[in-house]
Amino acid sequence: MDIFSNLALGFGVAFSPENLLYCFIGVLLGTFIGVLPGVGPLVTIAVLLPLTFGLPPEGALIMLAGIYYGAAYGGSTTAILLNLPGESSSVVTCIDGYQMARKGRAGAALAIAAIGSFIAGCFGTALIALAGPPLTAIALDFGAADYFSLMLMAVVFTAALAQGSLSKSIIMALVGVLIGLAGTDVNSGVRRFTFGAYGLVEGIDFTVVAMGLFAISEIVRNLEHSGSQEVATAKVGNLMPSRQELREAGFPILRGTLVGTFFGILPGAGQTISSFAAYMIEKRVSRDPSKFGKGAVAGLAAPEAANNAAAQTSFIPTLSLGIPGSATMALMLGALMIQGISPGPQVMSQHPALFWGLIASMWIGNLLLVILNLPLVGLWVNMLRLPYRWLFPAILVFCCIGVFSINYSPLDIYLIAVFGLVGYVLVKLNCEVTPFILGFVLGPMIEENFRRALLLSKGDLTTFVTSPISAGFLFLTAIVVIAMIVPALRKKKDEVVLDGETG
Amino acid sequence: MKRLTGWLFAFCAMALAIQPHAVQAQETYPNQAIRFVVPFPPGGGADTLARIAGEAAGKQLGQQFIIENQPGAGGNLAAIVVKDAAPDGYTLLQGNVAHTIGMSLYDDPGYEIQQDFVPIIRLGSSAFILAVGPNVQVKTLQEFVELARSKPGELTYGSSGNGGPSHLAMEMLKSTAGIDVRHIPYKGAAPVLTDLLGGRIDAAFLTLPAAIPQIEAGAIKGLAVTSAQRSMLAANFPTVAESGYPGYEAVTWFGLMAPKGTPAEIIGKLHKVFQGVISDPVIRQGLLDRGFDVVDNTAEEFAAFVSSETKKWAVTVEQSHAKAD
Repeated sequence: MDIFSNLALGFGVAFSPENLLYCFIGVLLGTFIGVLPGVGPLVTIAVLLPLTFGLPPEGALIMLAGIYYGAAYGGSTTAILLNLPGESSSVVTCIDGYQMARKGRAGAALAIAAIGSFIAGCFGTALIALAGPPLTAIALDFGAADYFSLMLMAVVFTAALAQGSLSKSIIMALVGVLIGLAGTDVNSGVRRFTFGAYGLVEGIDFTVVAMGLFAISEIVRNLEHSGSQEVATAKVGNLMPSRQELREAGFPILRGTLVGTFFGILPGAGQTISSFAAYMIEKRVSRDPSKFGKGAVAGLAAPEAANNAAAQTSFIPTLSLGIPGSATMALMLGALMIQGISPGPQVMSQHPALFWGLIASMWIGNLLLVILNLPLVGLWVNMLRLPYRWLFPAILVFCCIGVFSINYSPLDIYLIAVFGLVGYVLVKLNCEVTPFILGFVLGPMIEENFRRALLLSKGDLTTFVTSPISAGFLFLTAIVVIAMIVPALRKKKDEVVLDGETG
Repeated sequence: MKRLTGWLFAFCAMALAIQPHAVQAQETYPNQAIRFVVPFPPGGGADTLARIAGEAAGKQLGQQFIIENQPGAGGNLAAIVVKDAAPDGYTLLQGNVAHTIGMSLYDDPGYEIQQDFVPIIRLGSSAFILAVGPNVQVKTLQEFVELARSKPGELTYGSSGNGGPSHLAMEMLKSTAGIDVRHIPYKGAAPVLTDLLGGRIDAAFLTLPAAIPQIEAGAIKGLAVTSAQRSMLAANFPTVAESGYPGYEAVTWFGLMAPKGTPAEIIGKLHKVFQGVISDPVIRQGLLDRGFDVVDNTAEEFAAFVSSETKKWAVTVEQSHAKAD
């Protein structure tokens, strides 16, 4: 079998002592950098790129890939412990992960995140090895109309899951869309909601919004109780997850892996959306959706698995098509070019040692991350024992450095302060932040793809149903809408039937 | 706790170290590090060009070039920073094609590329290649133009942004050849390539490093490059100019500029050093590998080039209605 000889070649390359070392250095650096808020893999890879010039191509790419998924791992740590999303993909981890930490389950949450990521990583690696080349076709089959329908479906799913006041959720989502639209319009070049500020011309970065709404507002909230130690820093609890927690995490990890795998393959959809999608699906299938947002294990395990699976599978379009799915992937391609390898359809056939070596190293890297991270759980959790008056200024400083390193724009630092305040007010008003974030992420993408689809079809709306992929998503969306309406009508009847069965 | 405060101190120290010191100017230039403001984020082609050239020049001058990435507002932000800096040779701008386009694209870009800056040297240029997708059955630029003429407004092309060079390159071809091809703008070059490979758009102007592997794999077809002379990177492809449109040139170029009022001796010294850097065969090959064609040029030639670019793009911006505000 081809696949076995390929994998044998790959493991042969990845298990060489020097490549193991590069892999280890990569995941170690990545983990530590992921822990620093805002200093994401993009900045790290940009800064460390020159270090890899002297390495052989395999070693260089293995190390950079290690940094990349190591950072995805590390980002969850601060998300869980401090409500501080280190990477944009770990925002969702904050929602239930931080609540688990507040309940004294910080160690368990970190361990579940690590295990979920490992399982997802193994699956992603296996999938690339088995089906990488055919899967690239999927990436090319997705057009603007298909992206539009996919995202519309995501929005409708979220609305279907809204907790509490539906009108509040819708308002929050719409405000999110409006803020997401700030910046230069893709189609006309018109600047929207920039108020003459140059820092707003390229729009507001996702990390800025997430850090403000989650980390900064949490600091403000904690400081309400001056002197008292009501915050999460008080309790630590048992470090390892209980059997019950592991059982609760099992299926969500598998589902999250599948979701993440799918989104990782689509260039441009990315890790952030994959973790949101996994979270929404968990909430949908859960028997007790009210637990979400209050420390549900499934709400942590699924998105963690999803973002790691997406981190792995996003290498498929990058390596086999030469199309970067994100700015970080574009840098990886840049690294390949510096090594004299032109990224493109030929990489797999012309440089099999590089391609399969990288894939094998991903699996090894994931294993290294678990070995590295499980013992570190105790260390990280100890961070919570620090007095809060020391912790919060440090968080503030790291947030500012991290945010500044994204665009080198001082305005972004003011913006996290603004969003921190907004987040605090929203918490006080009992408004959920999740619809806001989703509106912010998906709104501009929906607009962009809707308008592009219509530009391509010369304004013909049937383009959304003549594409089979798009039609499929719209069909599913319609089913969800019907499923939302019908139970409301039949609710009473169902309750009677249920009573009859149990009683 | 100690560990944490240690980290804090380390970061503060780093932050301080990055600040350029306002040491008093002395008679020998340069006697302190030179800020080289690059209007792009780190890691991309423009940044790499600045780092390679800056490092080599720094070695010769005995002072470091500190690359300061100042992305945002289509390069306007970086230009304003340098315009407002002291004209002492310690703050330089990586001027590029977007700065000349910006003169007509924006009502108030915040600077005048010809009045506020002194051009020093053009460091490198990247040509585009006009590529067509798998569904378009043409082999040459002439055939493409004929196809477009036979069905006006039917063919589509993607660009990496409204008002960017890959948009205006096609608009210039459209008005020169008298054809109508519909513009589909994207955010960045990667989605353009995806839709071109998938056959959803018919054509696009792509950068050579991104396009050549796809052309060699047979996924798309390359028709003509946009530089005035054939590119060293793709010598077997004809230029648009030699395919029937003499005078056509649309490249992404990058050069070194100083704020107006910088002493002529400093300009002369910088030109001499950077000219030496870009004519070094090793560096020239390194830049070529990263997609940059490099030619020797004088400060006067570069100034004339900036002036002709500003005029040329003003015409194209006007014709294409790319202007937004």
